[in-house]
Amino acid sequence: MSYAYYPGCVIPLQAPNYEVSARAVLKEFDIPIVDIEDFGCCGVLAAPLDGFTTLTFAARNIALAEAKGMDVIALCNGCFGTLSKAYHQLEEEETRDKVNRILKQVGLQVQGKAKVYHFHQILYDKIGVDEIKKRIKVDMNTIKIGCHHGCHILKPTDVLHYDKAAYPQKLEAMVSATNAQVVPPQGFEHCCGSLLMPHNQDASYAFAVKAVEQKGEVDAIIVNCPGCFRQLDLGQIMAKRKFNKVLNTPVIFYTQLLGLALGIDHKSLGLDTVHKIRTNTLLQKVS
Amino acid sequence: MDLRPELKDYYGTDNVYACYQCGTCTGGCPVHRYLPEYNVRQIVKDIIDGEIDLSDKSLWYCTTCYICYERCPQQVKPLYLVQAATNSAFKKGLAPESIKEMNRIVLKCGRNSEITSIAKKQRKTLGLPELKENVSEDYKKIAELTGLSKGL
Repeated sequence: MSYAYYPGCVIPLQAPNYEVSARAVLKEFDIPIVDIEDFGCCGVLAAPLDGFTTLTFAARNIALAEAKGMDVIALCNGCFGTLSKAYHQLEEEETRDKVNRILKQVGLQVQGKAKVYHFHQILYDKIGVDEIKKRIKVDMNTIKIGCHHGCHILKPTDVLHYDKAAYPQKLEAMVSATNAQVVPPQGFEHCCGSLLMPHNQDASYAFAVKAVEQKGEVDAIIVNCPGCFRQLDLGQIMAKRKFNKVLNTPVIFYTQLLGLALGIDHKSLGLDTVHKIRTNTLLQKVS
Repeated sequence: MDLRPELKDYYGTDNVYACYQCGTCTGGCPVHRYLPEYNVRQIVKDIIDGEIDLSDKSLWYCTTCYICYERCPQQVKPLYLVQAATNSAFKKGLAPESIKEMNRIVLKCGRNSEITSIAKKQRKTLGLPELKENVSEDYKKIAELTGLSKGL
């Protein structure tokens, strides 16, 4: 069965390195995806202003997938969280009717049938750590990895049901499957501070710097979300300017690490573009 | 401002009276660590007391990390209470310009930003499919029907 590929709005424009590596990995595991060009913003940006609009925007995207009879793969934690919450809210008939009265005006209806998965759920739950291990061509044992999960892949746990919020281990298991060394962080700091950016830049970057520092001495930090990526990557450049701190740890997506381990060339994984903290030292260690 | 009548609609936050002000929410809040004026426990208290000040700028500082939501021993869902407060503030014309502007862009393009020439070039180099300039008119239509446009 094909999945509806949900890029969200940040990934296609600001994190094409995530998109290109995710597509490469999906292809490697023969998971067919379909691009739906009408997919847009998940709705999260409207959440502080009007929760019902957020729900309706999210429902619109779910309805588009339903019209094709497909489940959704989201790459971005934010999109995954918003669409999953909408899926949960749409289970209530009264809410669904209210949303459908509006969607009718744009020629859509939602039943709440299309399931929403984070890309990592497909990897962990459907492909599985054992299968990932079998496919590894390049041993990653020379590199140390810190995992930054982000908030909306984990929480709210009563809606997402993916991994434990306080002590998540699924990403760690997938990193270990590439034989890379997982370095446990000094305390779990999931929040990158991204949504604080419009209100207070310094505090927002302070979140990012703390998240980077908590990972300790590692060769790369793994993120699952384009918001976290931007914060932790650009945040290290800003750390020098704002807090006079020198930080220089490459920030990569799990799909990029896995892609390297599967033997995919680093350029095809977008490792030489977008990244503000350059990935050269990491790539040297791998080869 | 008395928000209590609105809470029933907001993701089941009518549980607000179960709050006994233990402060676990504020204790775990990463925003409070850097910006102490943002105090979730106080916001919940002000909502219970019917005295929430919707013009308070710090209401908007929540990063939606869900720590308060996960840890609250009374399942009060403090995060959703904060969003209920900012939603009401928006209706009263008290939302920050930056947040309104982001939403205007979403209504226009269906994305959080317009397609830049750098992004176009990067996508082409990486062999990624071309993007539609504006995703869909649906966003604009939906926002008019829900009332979001009116406040922008």
